[in-house]
Amino acid sequence: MMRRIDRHNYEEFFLDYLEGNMNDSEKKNLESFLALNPDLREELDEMCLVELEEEDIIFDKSSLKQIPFETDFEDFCVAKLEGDLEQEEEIAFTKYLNENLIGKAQYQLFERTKLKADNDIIYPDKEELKRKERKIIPYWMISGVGIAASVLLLFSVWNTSISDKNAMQDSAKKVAYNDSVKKVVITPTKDSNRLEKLAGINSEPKTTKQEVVKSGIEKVENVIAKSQPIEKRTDRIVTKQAITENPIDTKQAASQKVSLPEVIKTAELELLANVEVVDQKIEVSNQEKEMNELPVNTGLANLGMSWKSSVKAKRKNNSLLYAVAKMGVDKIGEIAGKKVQLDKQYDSETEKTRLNFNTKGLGFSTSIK
Amino acid sequence: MNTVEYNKSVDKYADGMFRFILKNIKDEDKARDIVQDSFEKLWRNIENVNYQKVKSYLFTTAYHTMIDLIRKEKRKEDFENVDVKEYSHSEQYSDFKEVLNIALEKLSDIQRSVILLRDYEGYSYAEIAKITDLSESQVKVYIYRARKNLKSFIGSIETLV
Repeated sequence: MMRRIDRHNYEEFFLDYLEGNMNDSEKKNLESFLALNPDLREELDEMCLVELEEEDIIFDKSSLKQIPFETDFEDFCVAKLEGDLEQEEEIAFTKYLNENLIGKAQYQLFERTKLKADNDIIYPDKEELKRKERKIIPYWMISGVGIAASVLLLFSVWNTSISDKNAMQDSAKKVAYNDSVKKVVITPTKDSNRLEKLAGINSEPKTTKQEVVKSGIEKVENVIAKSQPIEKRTDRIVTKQAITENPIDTKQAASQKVSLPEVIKTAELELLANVEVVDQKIEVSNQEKEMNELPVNTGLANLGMSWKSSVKAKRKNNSLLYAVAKMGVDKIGEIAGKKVQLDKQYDSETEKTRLNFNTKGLGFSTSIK
Repeated sequence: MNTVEYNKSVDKYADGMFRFILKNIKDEDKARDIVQDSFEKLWRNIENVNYQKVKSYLFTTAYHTMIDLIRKEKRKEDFENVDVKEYSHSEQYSDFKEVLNIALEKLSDIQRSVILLRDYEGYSYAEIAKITDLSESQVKVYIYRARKNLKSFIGSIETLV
């Protein structure tokens, strides 16, 4: 429905007319209204005069765009070099450089600040820095080597103990064989009765013995001649054979020259002022027997001396060590799930006992006696 | 990381590290020591270092070892506080490479380090920041300053020539 125009709302119609927002029928309607109100036609004409015409103004907008490039030229140069510019900035700045020769020359200087790696500089000892690859050792190899190592260790300990004992035995033999064996001749004396009394004193032999050792053979001769206790003591350490051969009776000794048991003088004797040790070294036996037999079968056993039993003990130790080794090896083999053997073998040709160890990848044999 | 990868790292990065350190401290023996120390450290931590990140690990280690050394020796010269014209002497430079090397020596340690990492190794700002313990924006600022200083030195020489 068309709006009705009157003197109260005509301005609204005038504005629409001036802005070209009226259709033809509305324009006709407005014309008829103006014909009836000529004073308002004047007003409409005045309104039309206010309309401004568009001017053609020429302004160089690109100069505005160049302001940042000019003020921060170097930053733009670096940013372009580093690739930090946005795509639009990149295009605009490139355009700016192309239009500005001085700027372009400056930018080219920036381009030359790009460093190039000097490939002639190389690290001289690269091979030294390298490492060898860590090899993965299979479990069976570790277990095999472990077993072998433990058995070797066991044997080395064993052999060391055996050789130690041998060395001890050898040295004992050397003492027995090499040191001069002196015969002590006791001349019966008149003091034998007095010495008999002294025999009752148990503490006496110690000092007497020590004196014997320290003062040499002559002193020994004298002291023994005077001292009953030494004869008593020799009674205790003679072998049965020696006893039969040389029955020493203090009463008889008074009337005849008695060949007393040989006294073995050793370096040890001088050093060890110990009756027990001295006793160990004093033997009553004939020379030949002494030379042929080890002091094992002497009366020392009666004194509880160690060397007689040492051989047995050694054997005992050996067999014990063997048992331990055997058990250990069996157990290791069981744990490792491998066949591990440890055998003791007697070789009649060499008269030696050998130990054989066998496992996967390793086997050895060692002579133990 | 395994031994093979470790040895590959030696082949790939030892030269670059050596070059980077040598350009910074100008002492071949010390540069070698630093490279060696860095690889030894890598070997000790071989289990914990990912092969993908080994380059960064090596350069970081080498850089910090170098900085410690520089601090010890107190051989600091800050290009920023020096008038470029001071170096504008009448001597003729045989080639541009020499000019650039001299300009590089005039930079501060940190500027030189970041620009070398950038140009020699092509590291990003973020990677350089990680290596040098700086922020990305700090790295960017140092690189920009370094470029301007280098350009300024080159420019002054070229003007004379």
